[in-house]
Amino acid sequence: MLGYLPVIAQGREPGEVYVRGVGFIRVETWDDGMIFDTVYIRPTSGTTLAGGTRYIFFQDLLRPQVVVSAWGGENLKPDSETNMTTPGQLPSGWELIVLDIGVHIPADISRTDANAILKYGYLEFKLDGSSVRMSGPLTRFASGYGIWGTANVASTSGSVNVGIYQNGLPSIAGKPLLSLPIYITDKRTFRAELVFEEDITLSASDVIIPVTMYLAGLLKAPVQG
Amino acid sequence: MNEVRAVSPREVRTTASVVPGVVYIPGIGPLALEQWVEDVIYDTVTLPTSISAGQTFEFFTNISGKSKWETNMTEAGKLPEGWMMWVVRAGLELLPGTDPDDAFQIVERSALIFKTGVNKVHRHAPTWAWPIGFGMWGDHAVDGTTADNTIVQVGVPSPSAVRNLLLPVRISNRLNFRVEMVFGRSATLSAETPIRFYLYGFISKPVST
Repeated sequence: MLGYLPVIAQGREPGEVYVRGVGFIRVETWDDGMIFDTVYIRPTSGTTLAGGTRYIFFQDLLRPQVVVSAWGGENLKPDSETNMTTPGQLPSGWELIVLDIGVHIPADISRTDANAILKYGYLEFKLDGSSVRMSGPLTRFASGYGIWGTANVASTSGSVNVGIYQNGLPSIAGKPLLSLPIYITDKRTFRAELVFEEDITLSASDVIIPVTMYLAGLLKAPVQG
Repeated sequence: MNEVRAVSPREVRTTASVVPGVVYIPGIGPLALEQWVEDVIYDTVTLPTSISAGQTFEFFTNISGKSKWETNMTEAGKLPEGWMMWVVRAGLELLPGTDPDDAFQIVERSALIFKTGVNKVHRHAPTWAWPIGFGMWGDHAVDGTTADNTIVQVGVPSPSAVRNLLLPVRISNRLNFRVEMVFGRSATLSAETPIRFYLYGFISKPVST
């Protein structure tokens, strides 16, 4: 029966909606938004990523130096890799009603890397330091987004020989919203830990794979500028 | 001019399904079918072959000299006088013929930020999180050796594969709006590449005389 209840329903008047578990909100003061952050998976020795390696989302606003060196640009993560401005917290005055959580891998990484990350990755999303609100293998956190396409499977001419990989079907309409919203204010802390408990082998010793996690839903932010 | 109610909200809310000519949209209210259309506003930006980290491109603010396949804007950064729009969906389309390696760089190395007014951010997300559900679909020759045999798109090219924004965004008469595309990493494309951004929703226009 629960699945038949709409997460967002009609409000009492125009310009208002009812969010199940939260209450009535005004459309003009909230948006469909997301908070996202990127970590950079790379081998710890040779092509091996050592078992026990842990990556933390939403905690670090800086790129590792090895990424800066390889990709150029500034130390600070750019707008395409995060929209966090305060480690582990929303900016002052912001509120987020999380209705969707997903993890994105780049579509053009090697099959070896896609297999390893999606097979062995385990994720925990935590509130206020220790409260685990969601956990499981990485494939349980389907992205719903990403490049779709047909790959030229028999080509042998270098870059034309592409594969296209995603964490799930890149169709956000095919991904239900959470039935239990997660309400985050600027007073709460949050983080997610991606762990690889076993040694895994990546495609090259210098490969860097940006993996992005997002918390999407209803976002309330003071007007900027 | 932007009157949206054919009857009172309370009346529509309670009788929405039986009031001819009126549709009640949650979060918006009643829309009179004679006054509102379901349509798109779109703009195309052509990316250069060399893009540096931090470089920004803008949709909807530069329409000079563009053809209808590129944009249907008639005024830079604004809807025409008297128009109003509720945006219920927004996203990017890669145009037919886009090289797959170029697509990967464009989509995986940038973010899109939808803004109104001076600097009100409505949605900031990586470009891969902006599907619109449009675009070319097809098959390819499996023994092909050229990029022409590969088709790529931001998400599955089916409108039903994309969900609406959880909350609509209102662009009122004369409100500035734009979508910024920011590259976090440099990109080197094989050719200049046009990409098209859509705002999809409900539009109220003055009756033409």
